Amino acid sequence: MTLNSLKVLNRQVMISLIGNDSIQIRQFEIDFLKQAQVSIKKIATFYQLSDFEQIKEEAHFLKTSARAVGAEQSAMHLQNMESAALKKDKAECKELLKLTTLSLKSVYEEVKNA
Amino acid sequence: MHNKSYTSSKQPDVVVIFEKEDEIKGVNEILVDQFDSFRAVALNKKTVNFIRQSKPVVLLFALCTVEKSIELYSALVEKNILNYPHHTVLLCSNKESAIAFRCCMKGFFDNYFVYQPLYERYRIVMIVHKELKNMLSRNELYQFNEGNFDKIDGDLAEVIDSGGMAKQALLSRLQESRVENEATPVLIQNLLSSLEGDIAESVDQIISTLKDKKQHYQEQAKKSKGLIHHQPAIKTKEEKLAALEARALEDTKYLSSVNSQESMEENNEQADDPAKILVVEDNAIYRNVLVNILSKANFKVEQAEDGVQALDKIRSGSFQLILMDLFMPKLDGLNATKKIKDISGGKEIPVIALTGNKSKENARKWIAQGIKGYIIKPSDKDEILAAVNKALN
Repeated sequence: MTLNSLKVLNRQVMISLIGNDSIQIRQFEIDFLKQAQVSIKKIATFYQLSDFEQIKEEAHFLKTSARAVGAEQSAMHLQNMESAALKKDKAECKELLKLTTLSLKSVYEEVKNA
Repeated sequence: MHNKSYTSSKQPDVVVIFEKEDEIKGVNEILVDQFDSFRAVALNKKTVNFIRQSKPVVLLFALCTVEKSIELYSALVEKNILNYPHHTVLLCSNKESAIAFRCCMKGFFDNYFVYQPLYERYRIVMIVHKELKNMLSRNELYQFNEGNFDKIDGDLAEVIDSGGMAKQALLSRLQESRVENEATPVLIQNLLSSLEGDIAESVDQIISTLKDKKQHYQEQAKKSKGLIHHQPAIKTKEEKLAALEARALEDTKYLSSVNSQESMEENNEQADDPAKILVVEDNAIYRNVLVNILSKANFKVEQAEDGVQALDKIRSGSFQLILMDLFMPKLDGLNATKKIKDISGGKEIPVIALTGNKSKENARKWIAQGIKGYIIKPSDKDEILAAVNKALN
């Protein structure tokens, strides 16, 4: 699956999970953004410490909720970050951290403008 | 043999804190011969003041028990005595090495050394030398006093020296490239700050808008007696037709999903006593999604955020099914499943694994541990309910 075929925020994912309850979906999206903010900070710290095991775990953790709320592009970057951390590829982790942060910003824009 | 006093250095870089001098004598003799700036201090009322004034960069804790050393170091940190960069080494007896190892793995102490019995005298010198090397910013590196060590073959000594120099050169080159590599996190930090600022500013605003909208919908619902229709303005005949077709398609999809949900919910409602399910997942968002789905399907649901909490819940209540994440902090899903078998007194509670990664090898492992099925995260509602109903039946 390519990045272009994935949505920044695919609301059908949440609809298929909890039904078409726009208020509740929005609440999950906000919770996800709050969680992402904390997780990305943690990943940045683990990156500075070259703690690849922790990068992998945190990326895996955030990927679960990214998939649940339909943040497809973020989920893909996080999946790739897990693999990069497993390979201990610091340069790739850095690039993916940047891409994840940018994709989360796009999620935020969509949530804000919905 | 040593020929210096280990209680004389006034501004020592290396300090050993001890309780019983005779127990630490061997270590002191080794260290005093190797390090000029070394001092051994007995633990008493003056110790804290001495540490505060001398600010040693490497501290070795050699109290009678590891517990006492932990307490002392914690107190020095909490009281802000060690408010400067320093490294710590825990000295312990052989029987307490497991605790010492744990302390170091958890990052409490930087290193440990078994000094009772003292059978690795070179190792204590190496540990202290490395910690000093990490800490000293000035070029005042300690050189080994080779006279204190056993003689080795001259050629071998030369190979070791030149190999050591080559490795140091390599490490310096790596360090230089690392510094270059570290320069870019500024960009990430800027992105983070910007994301943080944006989110902080508008989360309140979004919540407030949501509340307004909710209130608005509720009012509308009251006015239209529960029937809410939102139809955007349509101008042309073609647009009307297209909109009607789209609406019909949506309605068909909706009806089919309602039917499927209703049939599953009916199944559960028909049961005299709805099944009680425990959801164990460390990710709060995904956990809430599952709880939401199962509650709407009329199951009784409880939740836990890790294996330890799950075991507590299982001890205090009976569950017909457990949905459990396999990768969690504290106690992971597989180990929690093993323990569930132990505490449920022979009664087998089916466990469904929640996983983002299903490989054949993993699946074999899960089956061996008694896991009845799995749900790939995040499956849709129908798949989740189907897996749950299958396990319950």
